[in-house]
Amino acid sequence: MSTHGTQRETVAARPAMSLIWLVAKREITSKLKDKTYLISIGFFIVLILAVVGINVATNSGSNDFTVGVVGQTSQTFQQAIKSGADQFDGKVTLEYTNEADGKTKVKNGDFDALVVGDTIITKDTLNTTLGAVLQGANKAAKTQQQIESSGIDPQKLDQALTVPPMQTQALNPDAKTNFERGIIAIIAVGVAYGMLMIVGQFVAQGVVEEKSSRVIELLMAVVKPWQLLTGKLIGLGILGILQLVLVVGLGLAGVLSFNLIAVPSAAVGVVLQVVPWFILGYTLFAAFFALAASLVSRQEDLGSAVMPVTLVPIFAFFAAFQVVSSPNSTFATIISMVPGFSPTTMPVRAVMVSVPIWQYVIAVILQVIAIVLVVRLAGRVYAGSMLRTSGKIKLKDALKQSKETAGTPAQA
Amino acid sequence: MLVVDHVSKSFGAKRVLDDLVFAIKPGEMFGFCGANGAGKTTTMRVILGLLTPEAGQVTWNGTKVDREIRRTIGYMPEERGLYPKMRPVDQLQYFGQLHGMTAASARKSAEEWIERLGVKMEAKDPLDKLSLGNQQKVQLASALVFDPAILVLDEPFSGLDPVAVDALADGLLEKAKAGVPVIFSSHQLDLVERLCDSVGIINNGTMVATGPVDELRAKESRKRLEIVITGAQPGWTEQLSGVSAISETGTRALMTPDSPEMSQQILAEAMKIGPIERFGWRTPPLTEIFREAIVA
Repeated sequence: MSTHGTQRETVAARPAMSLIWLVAKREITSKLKDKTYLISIGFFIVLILAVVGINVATNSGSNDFTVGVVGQTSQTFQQAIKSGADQFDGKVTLEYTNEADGKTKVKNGDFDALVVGDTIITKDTLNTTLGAVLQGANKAAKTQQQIESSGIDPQKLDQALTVPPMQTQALNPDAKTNFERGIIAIIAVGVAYGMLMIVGQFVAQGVVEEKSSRVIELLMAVVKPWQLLTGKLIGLGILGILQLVLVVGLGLAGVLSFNLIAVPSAAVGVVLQVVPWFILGYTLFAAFFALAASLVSRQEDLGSAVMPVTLVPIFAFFAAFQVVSSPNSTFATIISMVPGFSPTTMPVRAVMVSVPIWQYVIAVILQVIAIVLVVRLAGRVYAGSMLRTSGKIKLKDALKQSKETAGTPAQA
Repeated sequence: MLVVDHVSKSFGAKRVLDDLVFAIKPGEMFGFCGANGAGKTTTMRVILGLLTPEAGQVTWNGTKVDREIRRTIGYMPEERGLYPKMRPVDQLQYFGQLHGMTAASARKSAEEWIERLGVKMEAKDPLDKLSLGNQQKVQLASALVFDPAILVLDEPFSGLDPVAVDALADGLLEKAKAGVPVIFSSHQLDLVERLCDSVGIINNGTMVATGPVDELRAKESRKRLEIVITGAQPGWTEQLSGVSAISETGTRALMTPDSPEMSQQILAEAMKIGPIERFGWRTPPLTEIFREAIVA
């Protein structure tokens, strides 16, 4: 940039990157000060915490039981109870009592069940896990008793009953794990794209806000349209990723720390595949959102303008399902390199089969080219429609108009 | 010097600016007048580079106005525009930074201008909580916050109460004194007359009159005679000859002589009616100059 001999010595020109970053920073700070936004994030966090909390509350201790016993129990029974409970990852405490006290304790919930001889007494229904443990222990104890009373040598019986388990041999041992990895990738892509739709809406609303509030006229005097759009995409993108990390991370941390579900170790690698692709995918789709929003000047017209754009990620998501079912097909190979589709299909394909490096490179390059083109196009449309104050402008007219207004990429 | 140099601009078949020429000197307050649709806003948008003219150019100190110079122009668009949900101080700081200031100095300047223009608000209020007049002050502050080298203001005074007008006018005059050329459009011609050194009157995309207010006035000045006669009876002007377009209000009357040279003859006739309290060429208000220029 050249400097001219004006008297503004104190005020230095800002390079393009600095302008873009300023725009991005404004997007972030104004969203963080926006109550509606904070409430929606707070709602997400509360939701995640509630889901984790409820699971913790219902699962922890759900396999811990206290059972009242009237009379004596054999050692075999006690051992069988313990090993049975271990199988279910739980604990069964036996408490010896008399029948009257036991029934009272069952009624008021102190006991989950009361064993009186061959009968199990419960308040309402018997917990299936506890039922299985008790029945198993009873069967073991009774079998032991009957064997002993029949005079058969228990050792010989043991030998006779011991059968080595069958060996398994898989013809395609990786098929199932690969499929599982594919499914994990699809879920990760799904979550990421759900988030993308929200952030994409933010981008679209932000673009229209600047047009409907007419602040655009002040901005365009100093910022080029593509710089403004890029700043918006970066700012809201950072926010979107933080949001994703916060919500998914919180959920994942909760799930892992309370051991609620078993997360396959493969999942971590898969998620790491999805994230960089999410960034590439987000940027392109968000640019599409910005392009569509540039065509209108009021929030009321926004819905119909962005509708066609929301279909793009949906198609891309469905393409990912195709890839999961046949990751080696020609379709999968080609679609995973097509801009717009690569962010959903490439990570899925890559976790299922080994992808040659050159295909990766092509996919990334094409996607980046597409991003640059769409941002530039959106910038031109933005410039072309900025002095419109109502209605929806046609793409063709906006491009024609952009030649008459400033700030188009062709202009310095 | 800011020069609008033979600028033409059409929208479709409609020619909005037609070979428009005018210049504003440093430190000059330039009032830009014209009927609705005359081309004022389009001219300002061309200066700001928001519209590209088909012919001609805008120069600042001899250099074509480019993005780098535009960065130093304080602009107040006709359709006001600020972020409704952002706090005034934050947005003024933002615009200051976009124009090249550091965050700290932009913040300081933003606070100073809010104070100077007397914006009434709670510190935490977003812009849309402010009254329209206060919003307008913030809008003006956004044009001033980065210490602009040129000021281009489209209808800055419309919708303001007299106190706010004075606060705003003071701010602009101070800038002009500091050597900044200030161009503003307005329909309030009395205000333009009071504030401006020069005016430009645009009609159908061309400048029909431009120059210092006094000069324009001098051109028009020997047109209307003002006569006040003590105790004159209603209908007294009928006794005068060689005059037309008479408007008589009590003992006072305005009239146009057939030629300026006839004034002494008219004076002689008037003296016969009664004692002359006042006789002279009337200083035409800008409104009149404006009407004349547009009709011509």
